[in-house]
Amino acid sequence: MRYYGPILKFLGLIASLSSACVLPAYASDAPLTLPPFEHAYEPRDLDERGLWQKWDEYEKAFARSPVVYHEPDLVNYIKGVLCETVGPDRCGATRIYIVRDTNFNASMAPNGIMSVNTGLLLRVKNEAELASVLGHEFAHFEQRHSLNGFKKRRRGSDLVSWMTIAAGVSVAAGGSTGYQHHRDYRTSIYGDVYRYARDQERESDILSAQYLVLSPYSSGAAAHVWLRLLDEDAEQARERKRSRRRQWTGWADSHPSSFERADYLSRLADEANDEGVYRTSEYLEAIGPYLPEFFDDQLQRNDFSATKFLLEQIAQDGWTADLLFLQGELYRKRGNPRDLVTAATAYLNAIEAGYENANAWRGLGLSQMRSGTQAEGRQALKTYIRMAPDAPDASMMSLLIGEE
Amino acid sequence: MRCEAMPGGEMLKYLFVACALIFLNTSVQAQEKAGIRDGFEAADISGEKIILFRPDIQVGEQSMGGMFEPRAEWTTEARRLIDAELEKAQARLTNEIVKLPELYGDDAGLLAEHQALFETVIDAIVEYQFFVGNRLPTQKKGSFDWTLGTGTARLAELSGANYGLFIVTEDHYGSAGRKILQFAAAGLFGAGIQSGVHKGAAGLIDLRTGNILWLNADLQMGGDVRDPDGVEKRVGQLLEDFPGSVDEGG
Repeated sequence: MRYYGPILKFLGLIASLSSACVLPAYASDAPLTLPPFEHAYEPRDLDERGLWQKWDEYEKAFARSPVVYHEPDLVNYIKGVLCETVGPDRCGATRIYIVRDTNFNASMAPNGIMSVNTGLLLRVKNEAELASVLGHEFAHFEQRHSLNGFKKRRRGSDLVSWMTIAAGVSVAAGGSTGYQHHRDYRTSIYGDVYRYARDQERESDILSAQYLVLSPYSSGAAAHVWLRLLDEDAEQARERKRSRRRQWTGWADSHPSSFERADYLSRLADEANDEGVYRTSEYLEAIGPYLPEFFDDQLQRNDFSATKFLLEQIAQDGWTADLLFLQGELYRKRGNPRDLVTAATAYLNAIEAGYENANAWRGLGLSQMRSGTQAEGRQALKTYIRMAPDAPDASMMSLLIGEE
Repeated sequence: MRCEAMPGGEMLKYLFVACALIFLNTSVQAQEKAGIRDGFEAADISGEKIILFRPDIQVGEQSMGGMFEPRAEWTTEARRLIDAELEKAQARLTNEIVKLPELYGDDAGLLAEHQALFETVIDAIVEYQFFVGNRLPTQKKGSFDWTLGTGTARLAELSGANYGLFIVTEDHYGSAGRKILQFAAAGLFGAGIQSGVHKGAAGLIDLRTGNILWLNADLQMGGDVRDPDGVEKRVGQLLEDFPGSVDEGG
């Protein structure tokens, strides 16, 4: 938002001035309604039954996969948000699985498996933002995008097969441009398949926005998600000295760029002008107990700037003891001499703010040991060992401070 | 965010595989189809109960461009026929084969992981052991030494059996379009386009150690799994030379 807010406003202004809005928007005067929904839908044609059976089989194993986070309270909470978003009849058709993956992502299978990454839960700030993503995934389900996408890819690959034969014939008959044409057509068919996928994504974004307008949530939240992702990318780009991504939609992109999505979603929200809630504190309360664990995975990515950005986003409404501890972990992991000083301060602040887990003393001790204040470091590690005598690294820490 | 568990990379793969198949001459060179762990003999398992894990069965069509199109009716029918045929096969085997009842909770997860591991390991065996020319320099002698690891011990505990049998089949039947394409390519250029995929494997595991004692794996299995005669042939091929098996007449 820092970088893109003004640009978006400017673009929006141009769009409204020139009325060149190519986006399929809501019909302005017709009342907003959702497509009819069929309860306990059963797959219909040959392809759909096949896909469903494949995914049903997959789900049996997936449900018990070690990558799935088995926290019934959290699953119920997310399901609750989905039900608020799309209504109690619709949401009943899905099963939610929380996947331990730090990437911002969620996915939907044709039979109603909805996977939500922990990295997504780390990156949305309130229920309304979460609702916009869940609504998007649900729209894929409701519009049967898996099935249609499958058919589209099949048509594409069928065509390419025949063109290959045709190109062979043309070359065999002495034509010199057969392969050139073949390449061109193939490129255009692949491009068409990708464009189809992007159109499905746009359709889902738009339907999700409609769910939000009809729900208690504010449809304005949807664009915020994408803007923040762009900001996170900008942080990472600066640190890694690369150019920014997700600004423009490319030929082989399966999704529209974040920039494009933020643009049309904010315009849709402006048009809808709905008054909804965001429920930020409710979200933080529900996610709070799991944050340290989710965040710990993010820390392992060695992605300092983006992680720092994420942490600051979460801490916008105040640095709690948990968040201060995570700040200590973040800086200690990068481990420059100045980082270790910052880390030690963060751990001390966490302890002062009431952080009770012994790990704060561990982090504090290790930071101090490495930054020239060994005496304090030893004391901190002693406290750690006293508080957590059974910790797996307790004996190693004893060795470090020279005690048996 | 990605939609529908079909990342862009996956989509690309589909398209390129479809295209690659066109020019790929897939006539398979001579390869081995069975392996027995060094030192293992049928006598080692005599009188032992063998637990049969639920076979992994997938049946579908192959589109013109080579994509797999899962078919629910065929898969259901194949499962029914294969289950029945495996029961009939008991007559040829000297060991008692017992089906493992459905597991729940963490145990179900453990089994699913080992099923997946088995399938990954047999892919590696087919690639790096059965294709003799692909063997690693350290494995030139070709001793059959493969294991799923000791994680299978829990499966022994659950089932009360020391040995387990995994079975996998995957069939993509060439659609009418695929066959026409195949003939067109063969007629015009003599290019071989593969129509259909028929993979199958059966493996006997020592559940206490995870070692694969005996394995049959073939990328070009015979027998149409959609009809009873075909299934008889397929199961016969899967369990061919199973340790301690006897001829049907004897």
